[in-house]
Amino acid sequence: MLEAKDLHKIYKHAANPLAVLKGIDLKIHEGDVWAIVGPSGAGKSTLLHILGGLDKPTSGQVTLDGEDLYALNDGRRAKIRNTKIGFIFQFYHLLPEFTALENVMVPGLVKGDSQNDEALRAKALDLLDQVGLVQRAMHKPNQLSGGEQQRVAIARALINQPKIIFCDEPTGNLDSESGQAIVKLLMELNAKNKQTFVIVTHNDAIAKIAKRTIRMRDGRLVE
Amino acid sequence: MVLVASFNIISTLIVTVTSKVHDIGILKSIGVPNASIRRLFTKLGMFIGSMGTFWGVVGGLALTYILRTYVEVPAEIYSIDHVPVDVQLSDMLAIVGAALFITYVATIYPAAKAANLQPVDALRYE
Repeated sequence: MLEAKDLHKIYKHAANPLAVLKGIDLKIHEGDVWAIVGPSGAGKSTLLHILGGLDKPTSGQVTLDGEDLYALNDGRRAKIRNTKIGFIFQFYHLLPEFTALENVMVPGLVKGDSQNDEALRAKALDLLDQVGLVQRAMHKPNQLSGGEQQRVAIARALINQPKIIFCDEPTGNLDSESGQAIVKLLMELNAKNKQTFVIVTHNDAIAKIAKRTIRMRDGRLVE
Repeated sequence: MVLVASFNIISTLIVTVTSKVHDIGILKSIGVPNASIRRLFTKLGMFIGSMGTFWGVVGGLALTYILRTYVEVPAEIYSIDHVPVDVQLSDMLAIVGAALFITYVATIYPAAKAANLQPVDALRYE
């Protein structure tokens, strides 16, 4: 489903170029749960962002369902980010002026398919119910705890039923109890919806229950 | 004067783009394309310029009405007893058209700046 070939990422700084990814190859199949672990600075988040179409590699190829992500025009790549990919970030990245419900609905509004706003709203409320937050639907992010914001972010990532969900340290900004609740929720969603998860994490609990764990060090995969 | 006002629009939009970089990153990460981001800021700039043009026309017409109706000048000193005001529709349309065009041009740079942000860089911005 998702394949990366010989990925390189070099940041060009004035003094010295910084090679963050040094030739990454991997193949991710549908329904997999991958954990990417490694020390800070190994390139884990950079790899995740490139796999998800958020950052261009210096060289190499990322193919999702046969489409070379970085050979596409911006409009097509944005469409794929909207319909096939979901993102869950360490710092939630919710829109601060919107309610929890509106934040969940936004990707659906961007998709702009035939369903009307009422159907989208009902779907968003259902997702908030699945993550245990339907009673907080009209609250804004600054009225929610960190764990609650992350659950809204999870619901937002799922609204368009993406094939693959990238999680960049989803529990990194949470206490251990909230973190465990998030891990449990992600595994339940994988079991229920058969969506693919790729999770960058320092959390051992996630690494243990992932179907595949890959380690990164110094920009390379280490078996 | 319109050109001077257009610099105000450019600076206002650049400040708006800068303050919204993080939100732009979020929108891009959920699949809003660059073209939509560009249109968003172009529409914002056009809205600001249109409102300014509208209220400028209203204010200008009000002022000309006041000048024509209430302001008298001493006829013994000037050969006329009122300020000669001549509102021509063609002049108004030309100025409104020029104002809207200059407004549109003023949005190009800030809208392109917002549209061309890399999603991951915008998300990291604080």
